[in-house]
Amino acid sequence: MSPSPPTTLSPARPGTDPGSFRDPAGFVFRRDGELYRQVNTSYRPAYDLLMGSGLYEHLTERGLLVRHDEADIDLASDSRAYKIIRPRRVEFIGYPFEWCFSQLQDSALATLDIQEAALALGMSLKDANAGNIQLIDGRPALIDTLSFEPYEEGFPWVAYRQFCQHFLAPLALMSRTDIRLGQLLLAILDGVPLDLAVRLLPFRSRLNPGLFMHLHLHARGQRRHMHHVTNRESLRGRMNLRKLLALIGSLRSTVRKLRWNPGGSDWADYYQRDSYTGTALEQKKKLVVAMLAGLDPGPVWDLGANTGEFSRIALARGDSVVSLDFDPGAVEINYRQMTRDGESGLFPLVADLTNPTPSTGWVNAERRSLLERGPAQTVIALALTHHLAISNNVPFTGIAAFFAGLTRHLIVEFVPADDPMAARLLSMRNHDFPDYTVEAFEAALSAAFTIRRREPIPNSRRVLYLMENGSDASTSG
Amino acid sequence: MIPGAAWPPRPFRRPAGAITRSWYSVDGPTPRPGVARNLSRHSFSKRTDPELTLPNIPPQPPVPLLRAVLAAVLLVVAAPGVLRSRQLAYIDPGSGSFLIQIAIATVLGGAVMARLWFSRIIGIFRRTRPGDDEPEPTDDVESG
Repeated sequence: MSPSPPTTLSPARPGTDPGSFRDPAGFVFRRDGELYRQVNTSYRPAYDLLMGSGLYEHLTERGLLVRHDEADIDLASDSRAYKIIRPRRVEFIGYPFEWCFSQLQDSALATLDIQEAALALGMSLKDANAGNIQLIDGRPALIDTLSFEPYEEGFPWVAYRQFCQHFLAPLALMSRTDIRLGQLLLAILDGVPLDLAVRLLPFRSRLNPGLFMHLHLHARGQRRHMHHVTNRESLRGRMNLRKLLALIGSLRSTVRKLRWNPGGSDWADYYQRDSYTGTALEQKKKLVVAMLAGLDPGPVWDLGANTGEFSRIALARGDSVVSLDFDPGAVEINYRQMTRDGESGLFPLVADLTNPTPSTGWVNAERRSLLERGPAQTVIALALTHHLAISNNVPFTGIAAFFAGLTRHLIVEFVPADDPMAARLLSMRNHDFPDYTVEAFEAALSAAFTIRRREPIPNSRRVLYLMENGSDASTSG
Repeated sequence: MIPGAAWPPRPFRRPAGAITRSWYSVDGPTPRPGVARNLSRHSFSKRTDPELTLPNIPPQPPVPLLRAVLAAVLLVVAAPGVLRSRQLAYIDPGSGSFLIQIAIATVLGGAVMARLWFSRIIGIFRRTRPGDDEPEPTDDVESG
C-alpha cells in the first residue's frame, strides 16, 4: 500500500463536492466554508421553469424542497455557470441505509408528493435518488434543486426504475422479509436491483397488487428486455398525464400500506434496556441537564441513544442532535416520536459504532463515512462504554482516542463491572477483564481529556463524567 | 455430480416398453402398465426420430394457480404495450422498466377511468333520490 493517495483521485476543481459530478446540470462546491451549487447554462430552461412556474414556491412552502438564495455569479467555478445558488444549510446528512423504516417510507412519500406537484406545474423529477431526500426541520425534503426537468407529455417517468430500486424494494424487503435488509443500500449505491429484491421477498408478496406490479412484474419486464434496444422517440405518445398520475397514485398507496413495527405489533412498550430504578434515571437526567447547562453544546451526537430520551434533553440546549443507535427498533420509535411531536434538529440514525458507515461510491468519496461527517461539539455516551469495552474488546485507550477525534465536550458514563448490565455482559465472556476498573477508565481518558466533573449517580454504582478535549485544556466549559 | 457420470449428459433414451411418465401425458386414456404410449401425437408431434429419444427433462413443479392467474391477467392486459417495443438506435439499460411502466400505467389509468365512470353512474342514480344533496365530485386518483 502506498502511504499517500495518488493526486489524480482528488476532484478536478478544488472545493467541488466529490459526490456531485453525475449531473450535467450543475454541481455543489464549497467556498470559504459556505456551500454553493452551480447551475450550468445547459440547465437554464429547466431552472427558469422551476423558479417561474410557481413550483419552487409551492414546494418550499410545504417544506418539500430546500430553500436557496441566488448568490454572486462571480463565485462560479467555471465558464459553464448560469447561476450560483446558496442552498440553506442541512445540519446533518444521513444516508438511506442509516434511516429507520418510517424515515425511508416518509422520504418515498415526499418524493411522490414532489413528483405530483411537479407534474401539475409542467415539470417532472429526473431522478429519485433516496440520498437526495434529507431531514430539514424534522421533515424529509429534497435537497437537490436541479432534480427537475420540463415534463414532456407522452413520455414515461424516467425515474420510475430508480424509485422502485431506492424506495419500494428496500421498504418491501424491510417490511416483508427482514428489517436488516435496509443495509443492502449500503452495499449497492443505486438501490436494490429488482431481480434480487423479488428473490428475497416471500412468495405471498405477490398477493399485494402494488408489489406484484412494481417489483415482481417490473423485474420480469427488465429481464425480458435485458438485451432490448429502445429508441426514446419510439416511446413518445405511449404515456399521458392521466396514466402517469395513476402510476404515482399506485406507488403511493403501495408504499403507504407497507408496515413495520419494532417487536411485533405491541411496540409501545418495546424498549426497556436500562437497568435503572426510576429514581436513578431521574437523577441521571438532572445531572446531564446540569452538565449541559455549563457549556455551549453546539452540534451534539448522542451515541447509543436508545429511543432518544437524552437526545431530547440535549436538543433543548443545542442546535442539532444526531441520535444514533444500532437497534433499528429503537431508532424507529425515536423517529416516530420526532414526527409526532414535530421536533426539528433531531437526526435519528441507525449505526453500529463498532463498524461505522465507511466512505463509499466513486473514488470512495461519494458518500462520506460516519466519522467524516463529524466532528460534534458535544458527545453524549451513556451506558455505552461497557458495550465497547466488554462486548467489542476495545481497550479504554482506544475508546479515549475515538472520543478525542470526535468531540470537544464529552459526557460519558462509566458502568462498573458489578453493575447488573455490565455483569450480564461479563458473564457471557470466558476471560476476565482485570483492567475494567474505574481507575483504568479515568487514567485512559485523562490522556486525551480533562475531567471537569465527576458525579456518582445516586442509587446506582455508575459514574457520570463531563470532560473536555485536551489534557491541558485552558478554557472551562 | 455423480462420480463417473459423463458430461454433458447424454440424451435419455427410453427403453422400449417402459411406462411413460405421467407429466408427459397430455390427454388420451390412462396408459396400461408395460405399454408405451405414442407421444408423437401430443407435444412432441414434430419429432422425426421414430424411436422417441427424449431429452432428460426433470419433472417441472406445477405453476401455483394464483400466481399464474395474476400474471396472465396482467400480462394479457399489458401485452399490447410491451410487445409493441421496437429495436432501434441506442442501448438503454432502462428499456424494460420503461416498457413495463407504460404497461402498468395503462392498466392503472384504465382502472382509474373505470372507477371515475362508475362513481358518475352511481352519482346519477343518487341525484334522482328525493332529499339528497348534490354528491361530492370525485377526484380521487389514488388506486392500489
